[in-house]
Amino acid sequence: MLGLTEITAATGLTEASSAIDEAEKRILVCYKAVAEADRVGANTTELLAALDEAGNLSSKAHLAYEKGDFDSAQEFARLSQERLEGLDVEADALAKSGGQQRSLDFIINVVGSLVGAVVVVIGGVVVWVFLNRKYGGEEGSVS
Amino acid sequence: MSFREYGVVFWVGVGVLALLVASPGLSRLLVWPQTEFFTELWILGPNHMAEGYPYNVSRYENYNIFLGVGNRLGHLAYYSIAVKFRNQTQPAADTFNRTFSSLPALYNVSAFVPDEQVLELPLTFSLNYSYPDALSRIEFYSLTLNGVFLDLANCTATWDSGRSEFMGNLFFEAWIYNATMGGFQYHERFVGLRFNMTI
Repeated sequence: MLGLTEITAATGLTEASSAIDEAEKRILVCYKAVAEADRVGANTTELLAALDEAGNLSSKAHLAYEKGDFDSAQEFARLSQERLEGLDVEADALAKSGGQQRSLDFIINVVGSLVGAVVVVIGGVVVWVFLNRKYGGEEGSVS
Repeated sequence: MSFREYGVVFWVGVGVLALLVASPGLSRLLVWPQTEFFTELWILGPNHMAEGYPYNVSRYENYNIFLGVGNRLGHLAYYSIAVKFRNQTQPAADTFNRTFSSLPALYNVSAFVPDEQVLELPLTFSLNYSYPDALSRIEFYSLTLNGVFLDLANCTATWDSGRSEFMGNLFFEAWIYNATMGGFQYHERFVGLRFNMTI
C-alpha cells in the first residue's frame, strides 16, 4: 500500500508533467502564430521577447522536474503559460494587418511602378509621334 | 545631328526612365532564389570578440562569454540550444559525421530567431569541482550557468599528460523545431570551449 508521501509525490509528478506539456503546447501554438506574423512582415519584436521568456521558463520547469522539484516545475510551467496569455491572438491580428499592409505595399510598389513604366513608354510614343510629325519630314539635321 | 540620331537618344532616355520607374516593382519580382539555408552558431569571448576565451579555469570563478545564433533559413526559427559538458573520454558532437553527442543535455536554452537576424546570449558560468589528492583526478560537482545550477555529479577528469591538462569541455548543440515531425531535431551545429581545470 502506498504511503501518503508517495501518493503526494506521484500526484505532484503527474501535475508537473501535465503543466509542462501544456506550457510546451502553448509555446508551439504561439510560435506558429508569430511565425505567420513574421512571414507577412509584421513587427514581432515584442512577441519574440515574450516567446523567448516563456521558452526559458519552460526549460527551467524541465530542469526542476528532472531534479524532482515538482512544485517549482509546475510553477515555472504556469509562469510560462501566463507569459503567453493572449499572444497568439495578438500575433494573428498582426498577421492580418501585416497581410493587408503587404497587399497595399505590393499594389504601390509592383503594380504602381509597372503601370508607371508603361505610362512613361506610352508618353514617349506620344511625344515621338508629335516630334516626328513636326521634324521627321524635314530629313535634315536639327540644330 | 540628324533627326534619326536624336530619335536614338530620345528612345534610350525613355527606356532608362521606364526602367527607373519600374525598378521598385522589378526589384521585388526579379529576386534571385536563395540556395543556401543555414544557421550560424558562435561563441565570443568576454570582450565580445573572438579572443580571450577562458581556458585555465578555477573553481567558483565566474567567466563571461557570448553565444550567438544567426538564422539564414528564410523563416522564423525555434531553436533549442542544448548545454552539455564532458570530460576527455565522454562522447562529443561530431563535425564530420554531423552527429550530436549522446550525452544528455544539462539544460536547454530556447531561442526564437527571425530570418536574417542574430541572437546573442550573454552567458556567465562557473564550475564547482574538487581535486582529491588520493585519487589524482578532478571530480566535478556542478556548473552554474546564468544563475541556473546544473548537476555534474559522476563526471570526473583524469590528467591528460599529452596536453598537460585536466580537460573539461562545455559545448552547445543547436536543435531546431521541425513542424513536419512535430519535434526538435539536431541541426548539425555545435560550438564549445575546452578548459583546463586548475587545482
